[in-house]
This record gives sequence, C-alpha cells and structure tokens, in this order.
Amino acid sequence: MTKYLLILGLMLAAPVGEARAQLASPVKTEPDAAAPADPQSKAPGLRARVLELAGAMGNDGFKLRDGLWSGRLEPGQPRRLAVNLFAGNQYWFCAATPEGFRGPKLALFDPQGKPVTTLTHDGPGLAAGGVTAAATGRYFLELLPGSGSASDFCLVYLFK
Amino acid sequence: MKLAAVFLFLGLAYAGANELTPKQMAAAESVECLTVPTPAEFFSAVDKAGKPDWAAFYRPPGRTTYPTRPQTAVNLGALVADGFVAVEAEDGQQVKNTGTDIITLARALGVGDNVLSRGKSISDFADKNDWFALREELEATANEVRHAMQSQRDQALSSLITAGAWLRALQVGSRAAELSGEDRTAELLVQTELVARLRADLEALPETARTGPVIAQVSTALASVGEAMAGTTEGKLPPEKVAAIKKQTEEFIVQMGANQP
Repeated sequence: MTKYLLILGLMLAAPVGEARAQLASPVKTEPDAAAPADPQSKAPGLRARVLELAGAMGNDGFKLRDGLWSGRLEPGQPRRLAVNLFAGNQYWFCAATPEGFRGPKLALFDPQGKPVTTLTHDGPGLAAGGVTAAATGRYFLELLPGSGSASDFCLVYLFK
Repeated sequence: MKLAAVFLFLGLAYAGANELTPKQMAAAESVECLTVPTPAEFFSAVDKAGKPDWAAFYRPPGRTTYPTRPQTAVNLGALVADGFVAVEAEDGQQVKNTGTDIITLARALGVGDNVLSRGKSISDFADKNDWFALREELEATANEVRHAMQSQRDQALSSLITAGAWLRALQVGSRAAELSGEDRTAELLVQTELVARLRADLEALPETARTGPVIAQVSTALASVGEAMAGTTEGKLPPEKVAAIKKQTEEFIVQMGANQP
C-alpha cells in the first residue's frame, strides 16, 4: 500500500510530465550496490530512509548517484553543497533527518546564486526537491534544520 | 504507511528570496562523489539535446597494459566513459567488452579484486539489457577503484581516473555537438567550474605526486579545454570552440593510448 501511495505521489510531482511506463520497473536502490558506505556517514538509519525515498524516484526512471552527503545541521547555520548540473536533465535531491524531526529545509540556487523554484516533497524527517536544470553549470544546494534543533542529515541525488 | 504521508505534501518551493553572495558560493562544500558529475549525466543531457548515434563514438579496442600506473589510471577513466557510451548505444556486447577492459586495468593498478564482482554484475546486467542498472554499476565500479586508490593513499591515481573519464566524455560530447550542429549540445560542453575543479584536484596533490609526464599532460589538456570554454556569452559555445575542445581532447586520448616512456 505504501509503495503505491509513493508512486502516486511521484506521478503527481515528477518535474516533467512523461509517460509513466517505467513505474512497473523494480526499485533499483540496493544500498550496498548503489551507495557504498560513506566513511563520514554517522547515520546509517538516515541513509536507509533517504534511500527508501530515493527508491521511489527510481521507479520513475531516475538514476541514483553512487554517493551521499551527510553531517550535522545546526540552527541558523545553513550547509551548502556545490553540484554540477546539465541543462535539460531532471534532478531530485532527497534529504533525511531523524524521525521525529521536521524534514530539513532544502533550497537550490543557480550558478549566479539566484534561488531556483523546485517541486517539493515534505514529510516527517524527509524532504525532496525536484528541478529540470535550465542551464549547465554549478548549482548550490542549501540545507537547514526544519525545526529549531540541531540534527544529523543525509542527502542523495538522482537524475534522468 | 508513515512514509506515504510525505507525498501528501507536494508543492512548489520558491526558495528564500535572498540570493547567495559570491563568498557563500565560494564557501560551498564539495563532496567528490556528488559534486563531480558522472559522464552518464552529461551523456543523458547530450542525448536529450540531439539524439546522437552513440555507436559512432566507439573507439577501436585499446591496449590493456600501459608502462606506468598514472597512464593506466587515465585510460581506466576513459574506459568508464566508453562504458557509458555503450550503455547509451544500448549495446550489451560493447558494455561487456568495456567492462572486461576496466577490470583488467583495475588489476594492473592492484585493485582488481575490489571490483571483480562488479565485472560480473556488468556482464549480467548487459545480458539482461538492463541499461538503468548498468549506469549505476559503471559509476559504482569507478568509485570503488578510486576509493581503493585513496585507501592506498594514492590520491593522484584517483584524480587521474576522474580526469581521464571527463576528458574522454568531453571528446565524445564535442564530436556529438559537431555532428548535430545543435547549439543546445554545444552549450552542454561549457563546464568551466568542473574543469577548474579537476585542475585544482591535481594541483592539490603533494609535490612528489605531481611529478611525471602524465600528470603534466593531463594538466595541460584540462587547461586548454578550460581556455576554450572560457569567455562564452550566456553559455553559448561557437563552433570554433567546439572544434578546439574536440581537437584537444582527441589528441590527449590518442596520446594516452600510445606507448609512452
């Protein structure tokens, strides 16, 4: 039931409307194969949860990058990650914080530093932002804790 | 069921009104496995822009032994890019051949055991025409070799694998742009920050690791390509600059495939 609701959510929210023939394809996110343990990751539980979220995107043809970004979010201290995106590609950035926390606030900025409008999924301890890159270049992902407390986080991204 | 609730809150996010300052952009963190894109991402965008005949970018089978480890690393990276080309062409046999060569070069670098199972997976996925899984498997294979190099404290070889993959990817991309004549494909070649990052990685190596002809050749190739990308207006890349990138990357890949001292 959960899986079907996830898929329904993705059908409504994929950045560009496309045939959904791939929805029947199996989830491709095998944690050990697709994202080897990051020695810096202190939150394997977060990793499993963010990969579960990413797995739903995989059903919609998004390919998971083999890596993750993890660490600690402190109130009022945004963490920013540089990512190189290609014009025309669609991307989803998925982040998890511990259950019981609000999902992190996730924002994307273009190569000029201007905020980019993204499609979003928000939920308890989870957040995702989707975008079709308008230009090729270095973008910036920004993460802030969703609530007033510090928390660990884990982020992955997918493209198609 | 809890997770399903996530998708009940869908919407558009208009990110905070504040733009990032140049200082904030310069201070952004960089995680190699995410900040440096894979050639697969680049090829995916190239495919959308111009639907090239991917098989036209195959290279004749190369050597499987090279005189030095740095040269081996560059060629391993280039082979990873070749693997992604074969996946775009949906050519299972070509993917398998490339996968076998990748494992052979990984063995020559002393990390073959780390990726032996990946080689089998590549072969299995190729037999099943699972192009989706193959993209992930190729990236994972390259990452495992790089991680193994890093754990042996050989950051130089790890950087050379990444640089080799990208120089070969740019060779393919520039040829695709030339053949299609599409501005959209040419614009994808403007990756100034990525090239700057690859150069910075090489420059950050300890002095002792930066000696040797291969690192110098890679640095020169990246500098030339970066120069060709510089000074573009609104991301537009004129045909003469596309030709320059193609010429520089082509010469470099040929040079790396040759028997150097």
